[in-house]
Amino acid sequence: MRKEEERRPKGYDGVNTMNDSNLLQVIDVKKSFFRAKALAGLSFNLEKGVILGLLGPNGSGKSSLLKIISGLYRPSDGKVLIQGEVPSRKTKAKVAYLPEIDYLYPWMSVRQTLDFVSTFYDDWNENKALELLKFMNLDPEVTVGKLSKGMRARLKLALTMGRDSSLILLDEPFSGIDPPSRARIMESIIAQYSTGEQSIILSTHEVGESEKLFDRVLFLENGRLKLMGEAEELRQEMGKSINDIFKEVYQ
Amino acid sequence: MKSKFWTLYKKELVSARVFLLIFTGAILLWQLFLASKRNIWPSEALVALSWLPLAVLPLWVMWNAFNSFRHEWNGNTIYLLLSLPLQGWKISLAKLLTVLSEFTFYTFIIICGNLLFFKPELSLIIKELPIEITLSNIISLGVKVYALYWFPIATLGVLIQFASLAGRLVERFQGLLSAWVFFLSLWLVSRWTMLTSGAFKWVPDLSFTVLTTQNGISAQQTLSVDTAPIIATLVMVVIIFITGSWLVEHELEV
Amino acid sequence: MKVDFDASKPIYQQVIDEIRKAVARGALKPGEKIPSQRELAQSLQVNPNTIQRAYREMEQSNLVETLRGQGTFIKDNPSLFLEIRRDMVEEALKGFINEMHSLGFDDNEILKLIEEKLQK
Repeated sequence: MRKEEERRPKGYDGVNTMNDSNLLQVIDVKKSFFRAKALAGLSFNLEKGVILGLLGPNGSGKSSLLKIISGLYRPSDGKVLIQGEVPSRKTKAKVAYLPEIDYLYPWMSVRQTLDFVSTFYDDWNENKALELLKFMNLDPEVTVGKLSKGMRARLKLALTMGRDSSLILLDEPFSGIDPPSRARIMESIIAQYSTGEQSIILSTHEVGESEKLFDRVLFLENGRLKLMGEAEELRQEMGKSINDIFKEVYQ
Repeated sequence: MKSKFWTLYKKELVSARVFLLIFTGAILLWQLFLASKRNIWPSEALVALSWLPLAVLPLWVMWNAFNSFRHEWNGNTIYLLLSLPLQGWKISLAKLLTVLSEFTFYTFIIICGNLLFFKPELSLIIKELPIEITLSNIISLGVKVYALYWFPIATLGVLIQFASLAGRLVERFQGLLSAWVFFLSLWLVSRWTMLTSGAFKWVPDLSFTVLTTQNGISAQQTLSVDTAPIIATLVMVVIIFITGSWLVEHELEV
Repeated sequence: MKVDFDASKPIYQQVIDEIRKAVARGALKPGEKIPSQRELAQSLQVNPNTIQRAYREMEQSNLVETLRGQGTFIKDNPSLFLEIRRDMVEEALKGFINEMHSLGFDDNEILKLIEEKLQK
């Protein structure tokens, strides 16, 4: 049995073995809107303890996938299972989601935002959240609406990583913000990530600086899986950085 | 541990604080304006007009009930609200209760303003009343009439909230669907009330004791309001509310 | 520790190489404590899982040992320094010679070139 666990199941090879480490199953998920197709039949599995880079250009379906996992979109077809359950109130308690857009109340102060959000989560870790706030140089008394874009991005990350969730979804956490904020966010993810306990799915369309974060990468194109693999193995096999592979894939 | 519902309700109240202040100010200014017309306009008219905002407020309730969810979508804060592990009813009830609390609060402001600005007029009116009518009579009558006024407003609030949520089910023509759902639910409530109010005949009626004065002779009269249709309506309103809350938790997308 | 990673090669391998080089240079002595996995992950800005893998491989190849509750140390093995030095010299020479061969130089020419270069 022990050997089985150490073998690090790869999930995406189509084997649907349900076990404790099977955190997320995406099964032939499709999502279409009025005219557009955001996801066109996507399947993969993710076990505990992995940082997955969800890569692809804008409009490739990254955001839609994360919204479906977090329960903010319903799949048009197929299903998503989080520890065996379809997204619901119950899974929302375990999944921490950072959307790309500004989703916080601009009239609340940083402290009020933390107080508000923390009320609803049993996995809220106050010490961790306060540590993050301090590291991010966020003044608790400042109103959210008065924060710069980079500062708001920092707050969003503190709110998301301030929970001891088993699955963390970060939608474009580095997009369009100043370099110091990016560095802080990157450092916080590394510092607060619980090895073996948590899995993170981080979507981005700029691979370069975040590629050192990923255990595994998943390339999406037009709502379909283009390529998935262990980052280190891809580097070894192709002799290229993930960033170069990314550029090649989407030429 | 902080109550989740209370936190939501408090958030709604705080986010409404600017309007709360503006409306409170507007009501008091209106009454102050009326007070400045003292000795120019008849005192009965002054007191009656001071209650005028109460006739305008239902429109505000409707607008607010329609907007409170729409506002979350427009400001993208719906992402936060819907990613919370919450029962739908907690979210929609917090919003509904806020709208109704505001309405009740404005009523309170009107009463306070009345006592503040029109004390001479009020005492004059009370003095002119037949001796049999006590202040407690007036208050109990006022509370009952207010409850009867409040109920349809709450009903409207639920229906409009439901219509605004139902509109979110489609990507286009949301307004059109909302309007259609609103009229459909109005029709549904009235049909349901007609069909089922017979089943609630056993509920005691609401009685009002009013004094009428004719030819200088005052007499007590008891008026009664049939509660059966009210209960029947209430049942349907609750069903619609639950449906709307179910939409929030299980159907709607950001 | 500061590493300029070449993202086209496995990162855990580069972490191991850095540690080995530090031992070969004498910058890390046998028995010396090295940063914890988390510290290293943070200072290098690398996924903690990657660092974990590097440490696991270094333990398996007897380069480091992790003592429960105390941390990770360079193996206290006096010959380690020499072994790593020998290995690294071997690797460097092998790589260089292979490269020269593939450019068409024979062994004598290589020797001559090295002598010329060193005299400058």
